[in-house]
Amino acid sequence: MIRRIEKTQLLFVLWLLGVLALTGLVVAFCSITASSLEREALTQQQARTNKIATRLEEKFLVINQIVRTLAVLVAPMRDREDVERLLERTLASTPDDYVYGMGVWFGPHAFSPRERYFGPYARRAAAGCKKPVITYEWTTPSYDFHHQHWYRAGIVARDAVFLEPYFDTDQAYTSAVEAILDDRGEAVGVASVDVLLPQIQEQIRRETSSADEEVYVTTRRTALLAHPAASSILEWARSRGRAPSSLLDVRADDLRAFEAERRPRLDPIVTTAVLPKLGWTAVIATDRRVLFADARCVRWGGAPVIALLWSGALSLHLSSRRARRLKELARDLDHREVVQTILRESERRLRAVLEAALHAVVGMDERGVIIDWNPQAEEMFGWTAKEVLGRRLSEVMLSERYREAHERGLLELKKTGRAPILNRRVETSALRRDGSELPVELIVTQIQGGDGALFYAFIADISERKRIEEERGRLLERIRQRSVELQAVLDSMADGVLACDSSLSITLMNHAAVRLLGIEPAALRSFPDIVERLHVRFTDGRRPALAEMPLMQALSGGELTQGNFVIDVPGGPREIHVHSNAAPIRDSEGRIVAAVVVFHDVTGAIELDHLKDQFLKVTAHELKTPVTIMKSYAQLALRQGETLPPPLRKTLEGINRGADRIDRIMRDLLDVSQVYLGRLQLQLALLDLRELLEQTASQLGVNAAKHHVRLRAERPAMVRGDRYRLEKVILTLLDNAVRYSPEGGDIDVSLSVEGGEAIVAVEDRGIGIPAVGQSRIFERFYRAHSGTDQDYGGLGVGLYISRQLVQQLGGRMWFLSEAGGSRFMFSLPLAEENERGS
Amino acid sequence: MTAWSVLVVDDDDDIRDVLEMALVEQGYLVSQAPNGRAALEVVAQGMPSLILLDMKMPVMNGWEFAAELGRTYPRRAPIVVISAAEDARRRAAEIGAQAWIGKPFELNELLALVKRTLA
Repeated sequence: MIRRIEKTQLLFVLWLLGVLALTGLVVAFCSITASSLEREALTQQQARTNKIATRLEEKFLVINQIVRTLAVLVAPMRDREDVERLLERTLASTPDDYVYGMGVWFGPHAFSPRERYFGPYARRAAAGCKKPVITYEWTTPSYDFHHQHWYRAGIVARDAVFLEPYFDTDQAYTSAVEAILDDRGEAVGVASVDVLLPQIQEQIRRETSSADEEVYVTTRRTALLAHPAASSILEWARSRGRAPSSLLDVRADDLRAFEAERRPRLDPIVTTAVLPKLGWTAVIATDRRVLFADARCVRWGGAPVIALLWSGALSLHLSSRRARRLKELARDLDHREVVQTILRESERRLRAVLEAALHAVVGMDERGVIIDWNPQAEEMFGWTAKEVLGRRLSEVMLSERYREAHERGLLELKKTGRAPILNRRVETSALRRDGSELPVELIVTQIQGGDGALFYAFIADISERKRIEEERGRLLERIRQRSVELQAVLDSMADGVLACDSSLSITLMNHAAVRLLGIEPAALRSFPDIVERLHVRFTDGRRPALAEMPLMQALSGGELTQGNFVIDVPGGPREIHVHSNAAPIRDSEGRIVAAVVVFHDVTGAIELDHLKDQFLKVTAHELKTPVTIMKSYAQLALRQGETLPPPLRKTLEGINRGADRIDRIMRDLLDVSQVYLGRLQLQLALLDLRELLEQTASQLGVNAAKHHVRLRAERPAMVRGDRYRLEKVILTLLDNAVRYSPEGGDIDVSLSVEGGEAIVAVEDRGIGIPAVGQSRIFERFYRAHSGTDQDYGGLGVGLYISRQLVQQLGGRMWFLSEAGGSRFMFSLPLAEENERGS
Repeated sequence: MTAWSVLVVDDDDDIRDVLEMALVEQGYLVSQAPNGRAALEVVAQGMPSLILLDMKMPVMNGWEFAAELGRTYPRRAPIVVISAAEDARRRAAEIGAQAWIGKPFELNELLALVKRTLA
C-alpha cells in the first residue's frame, strides 16, 4: 500500500515536473521567440533606421559629390567666368527641390591676388525656377566670409563636411563645404553647396508611418531636424517660455523633456543610425508595445499555450485521477458488494445468535438508542422488540438513580472515547416494564458499526443467584458458628488433636496438641515436619518410617489405627509417651481427603505400668524368700515322718501347699507382666513335644484322680522352645481342662504333625466357655466364668500367657468350645531338618 | 570320717535357720553368714566342705564373695547358688558355682543336691 502511494506520489511529481518542464519550454520558447521577434523588430527598425539614414546620406552624397566636384573643378580656375559658368552649370544640373545654391569661396587673394574676397554664389533665380543666377552678395568685406564658420570648417576639414543645419527666413538649410586645394594640396578656398532641408524634413516626416512611431533626425548638435510631432513640440517649447523659430531650436534634451511631460507613459524603443558625413542621427522611436507587439503576442501568446498546457495537464491529471478513482470506486463497489454479502451473512448469524442466546442481549447505538432487543430481553423486561427499538435505553431499562450515570457515561465516551464499564462484569439493577427492579449482571461490549460505535449488553438475571448468595451467606455464617463451637470443643479437650490433608499439610491443631507437643502451629507446615522435630520413635527406640505412623496409615486408607510412640518435646525436660488414634476423613463421595489423629500423653500411665510391673517383680521376688521359709519349715517338720500326728501332718502339708500356691500366683503375675511388657525371656532348645506331653500328662495324671488323661501321639515332634515354658502351657491347658470339667471325665491330649507344624490339642468334656466370653478368652485377667456358679477361681492369666508364649515361639493358639466341652489347640513350627542334630 | 561342713550364706535369718536345722538333722556341721564379708571371715576360720550361697546380699553380695574367695583361696569349696532370680543358672555360671537351686525350693531337693555335690 505504501509503495503504491509512493508510486502515485512519484508519478505525480514526475508529471508535475513534466508539465513544469513543458511550461518552461513553452516559456522559453516564447521568450526566445519573443526575444528573437523583438530582436528582429529591433533589427528591422534598426535596418529601417539605417536605411533612412543611408537614404538621407545618399541624398547628401550627391551633394557631397557636387561640392567635391565643384571644389576640384574650381581649384585650378582663375577665370571668373569659368567659375561662374561652372557654378551655373553645376547648379543647373542639380535638382532644385533641395539644392538651393552653391558657391565657391577663395581664400584671401587665393583666386586673384587683387581680390581678397572672391566668393561667387550661384542660386536659383526664383523659387521653382531652375535658372541659376550668380551673386556676389557675400563677397563683401563686411560679411568677411573667410571668418565665417562655414568657411573655416571647410578649410580645416579638407574633406567635404556638412554643416549644422540652420534656419533661415522660413526654411532649414544645411551646407556642404569642401576645401579647394591647390596643386600643393593646400586649402585655398572652400566650395559650398547649400541644401534646402524642407524636403528632407518632409521626407523624414513621411517616414513616420504610424502613430506608434516617430521617425526623426537630430543634427550633429542634437537639434531636431525633423519630427512628426514638430508642432506639438514647438507649442510646448513656446509654452515653456522659449521662442523657437523652428524645430532646429529644439534640442534632444528638450525633446526628452517634452516627452517626459507630455507623454510620460511612452516607453519607446529607439534605434539610431548615424549619418556619418552629415553627423546626423536618424532615430526611429517606436512604442515598445507596438514594436514588440508581435513579440508580445508571442510572449503572451505563450501564456494561453501554457494555460492550455496546464489546463490540459490538469484536466489530464484530474481525468486520470478520476479514472483512478473510478477504478477504486469500482473496486470499492466490488469490495462493498463482497462486504455487503459478508455483512449480510454475519448479520444473519448475529441474529441467530441473538435469538438463541440464553442471556438477554440489548444493542444500543452511541446516542443511547436501543437498536437490538432479543427474545430473552423481551421476556426479561416485558417489552417487545417493536416497543423499545428506537427508544432511549435509559428510559426503558434504567431506574431513576442510574439514568444520570448512564447519560454521563455516554457523554464521557463521546469525549474521551473510553468507557470504564466496557468488558467488565457489572452488577446492577434494571427496570422491568411493570416498574419492578431486577438484579442483573451484565457485560457491555463495543463494536464498530457503520456509522459509529455500537454497544451490546449481555444481561443475566441474577435475582436467583442473589437469593442463593444470601442464603449461602447465612449458611456460611452458621457454619462459621459451628466451626467456632467445634474449635472451642477441640480446644477444651485434654487430648491433642492434629489433622492433616492429603498433601500432609497440617490443617488443624488444637490447644492440647500445641501444649503436648510443645510447638507452635505456625512453625509447622507438614506432618513429616512434626515427626522429624519430635524425634518420634517406637517404644523400642526404633524410628518409624512415615508410612508406619497411624496418621499416614489412616490417610492411605486404613481405618482406625493406633500406635504408641515416644517423642521428645522441644523445650521439655524429657521424653514423653503418647498413645495415638488416627482415623481417615472422607468427603461426600467417600474419598479420603484428610486424616485426624488424637493422642494423649500416656507417660504417666506407662510409668504407672512400669511401676506396677516393677512392683510385681519386686514383690514376686521378695515373696520368694518367705515362701521358701514357709515351705522349708513345713517340709522340715514333715520329715519327721510317722512320728507326726496326722492332723499336724495335714497342717504342715497344707502350709506347704499354701506356700506353693503363693509361689505359683506370684510367678503367674510376674509372667503376665513380663509377657505384657514383651520381656519374657526364653531359653530355647530343641525338644521333643511328644516326650514333653507324655511327661506333663503323667504329672497331671497323678494329681487329677477324677480325670483320665489320654495321650495320643503317633510320633515325635521336634520343636524349638523353652521347655519350662512349654511345660507350663501344656499344664495350663490341662489344668483348665480339669478345672472346668468338674464331673471328671476324659481329657484327650493329641499331637499331630501337618504342614510343617506340630499341633497339640487338649480336649475336655466340661462346661465349656459361654459364647459371650469366647472372644475375650485370651485377654489377661479375663475369666469367662467370673462371678458365675462355675467360677472356679484362678487369676485368668493362664491362657493369656500361654498364647503369648506360643506366639512368641512362632505358633498359634485357638480353641473350640461349647456347653459340652472345650478343645484348645496350639501349633508350633517344626524344627528344621538340619537343626535336629543340634 | 569328719562330718561335712556347710556354710549357709544368706541375708535372711529364717532361711539360714531352717537350712541349718535341716542340714543339722542330716548330720552336717553348719555355719552361717549373713553376707559375703561375714562369710569370708568364717572361711578364714576354715574352708567348709560346701557353701550354700545366696547372691543378693547387702555389704558384700554373692559375686563379690565368690570373686574374693577365688582370689584368696586357690582351692575352695564347691558353691551351690540359691537364688530367687530368674537367671539363677546364669548367675551360678558367672561365679563358677557347681550347682544351683531356685527359690522356693523343695527341701528334699536341696538336701539331695547338697549330697550330690559333696559326693
